[in-house]
Amino acid sequence: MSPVLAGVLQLLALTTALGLAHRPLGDHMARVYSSDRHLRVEKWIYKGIGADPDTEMRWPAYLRGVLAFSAVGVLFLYLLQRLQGSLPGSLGFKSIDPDQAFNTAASFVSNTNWQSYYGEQAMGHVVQTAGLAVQNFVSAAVGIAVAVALVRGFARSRTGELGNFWSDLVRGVVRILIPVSVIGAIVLVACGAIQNFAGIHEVGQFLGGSRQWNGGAVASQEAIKELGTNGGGYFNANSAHPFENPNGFTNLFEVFLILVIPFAITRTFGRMVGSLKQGYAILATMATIWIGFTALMMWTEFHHGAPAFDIAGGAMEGKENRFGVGGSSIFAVASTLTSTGAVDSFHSSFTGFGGGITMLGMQLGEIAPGGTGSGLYGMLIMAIIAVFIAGLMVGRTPEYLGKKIGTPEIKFAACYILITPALVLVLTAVSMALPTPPHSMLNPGAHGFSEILYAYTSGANNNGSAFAGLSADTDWFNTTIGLAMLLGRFLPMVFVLALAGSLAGQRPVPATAGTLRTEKPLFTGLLVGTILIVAGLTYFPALALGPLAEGLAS
Amino acid sequence: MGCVKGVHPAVWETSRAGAHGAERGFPLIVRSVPHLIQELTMADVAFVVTTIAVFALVALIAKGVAKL
Repeated sequence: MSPVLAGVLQLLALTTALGLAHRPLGDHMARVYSSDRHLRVEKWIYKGIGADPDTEMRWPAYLRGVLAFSAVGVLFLYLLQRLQGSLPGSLGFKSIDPDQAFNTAASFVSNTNWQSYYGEQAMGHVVQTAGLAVQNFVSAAVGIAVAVALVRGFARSRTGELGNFWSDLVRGVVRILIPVSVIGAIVLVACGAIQNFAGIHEVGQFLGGSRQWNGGAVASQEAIKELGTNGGGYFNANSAHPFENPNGFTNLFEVFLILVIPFAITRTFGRMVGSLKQGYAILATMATIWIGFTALMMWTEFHHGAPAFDIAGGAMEGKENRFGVGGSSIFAVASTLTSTGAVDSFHSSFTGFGGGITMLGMQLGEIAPGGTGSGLYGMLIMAIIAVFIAGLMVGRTPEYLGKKIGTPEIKFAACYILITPALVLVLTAVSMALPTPPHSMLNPGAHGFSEILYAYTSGANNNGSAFAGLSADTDWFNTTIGLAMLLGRFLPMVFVLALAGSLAGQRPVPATAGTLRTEKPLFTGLLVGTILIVAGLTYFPALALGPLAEGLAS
Repeated sequence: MGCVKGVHPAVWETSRAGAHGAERGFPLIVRSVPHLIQELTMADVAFVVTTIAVFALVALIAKGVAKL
């Protein structure tokens, strides 16, 4: 079988699996967030944290819950790493340095999972399981909670109430993330991923010599790493490591885990706003961009233009033989179009255009399908921008899902889409202008610039993947990328929740003959165009200096 | 994820040292409680303050956004 055909068949199998999971998972999530009943274990948790799950919250209270919970998460994870050297189960590893501990704490709480450390050489079992794995669950649940609050904003009228943050958080973890992760972990263990608390083993190498490896609860962390679109690997090689991702099937299964919630939540959205067709329109927009990017990535990576490519059957530098060009391309696009950031190949080694595609995927705002929850709310913000543009064209007050998109809503949406580009472009420019940060670049010229642009794009968009080649374990990068991750995560949430509160307070506007039909393919096309144009106008100059310049020169 | 950090020989050596005994079980390296405090430095204070300041800034912006 040719590598191209194998890649296409993998994509077809993945699409089929996602299609099969879409309805049951989407409906399940809608039931979870609409139910009045609390499970017994949830009641124990509410009692433990002193929260009343039945109190309705307006957006400022909901946001206070998000911020308080996340701030405590950062401080706890920071402390855990700083005290690792004194804790049991640390495998003898010393405490993490302050700047790196801050970076890692910000990274895992913000659902970014940028790692400026080698997992197998720095983090013991306690930090991995009690710190990083816990954040993999709760940071994903926070994202879903904020998305659900926005959906309630569309679904509710004449009330500013958006639900209860603590209830949404706990239900997301207990009823969605843990059950699916358990199934995912069992599949991964069955396929060869490791799951133990072993210490360090001396392992003989095929080509001679030996290497030391520690064990760990890898499969369970791998499942939530992908399902929660987190991406932080147990090992430095991430999903290119055979302990995390043993074979071609697990590679595809991990991509499935990455995409399943972000795609299924569009059905949850349709259910909760009372129109499945609206959910399908959002799904179609996400799927169009995802398939388009995957096809483009495969084309650039399979494209034979040099003798080395012809011999290898594609651009194989930095890619695993177990997964090939097809599996690596599918993984790279899924990882960077969501907020996952896991890798099974090294994006720096992709062709110039291939590297640009991974970067552009993040720069779109990771909305196709995006992170768990964050993908949906990012896409709904773009939908509001799209109906606003359509309203300007025909001279009507824009409406979306029966709500008027007036001045406050547009202000919130506009602020949302400006935050991340501002963080990325300003921090990249400052890093390039200062004398020391460019010393961390492994390569000169356009590729070196891409390394820094990619780092801030990944951090501020809460992706977490690394281009490779940048020595980011410096005070400057640890601190500034840490700040970019926190601000890139929580500032947009302010505007999402403010928008939700504003929408929930409105009375519904009845649809008329002049209302833009947002469940139709025309709107899907408009939305895709809006996303590409907004991202293109924002990032094109920076992309032209990096991956585009490199791609055109090669 | 990231592949962005230099190698840590010192850490590696420590980890190897901790790997002996009862066939790579769960190494229990527990130090005295006073040592926990000694590990913390002024840099820790700076990063804790930075974290609190970031969240306070976001909360402050939210207050402003409520008036939009």
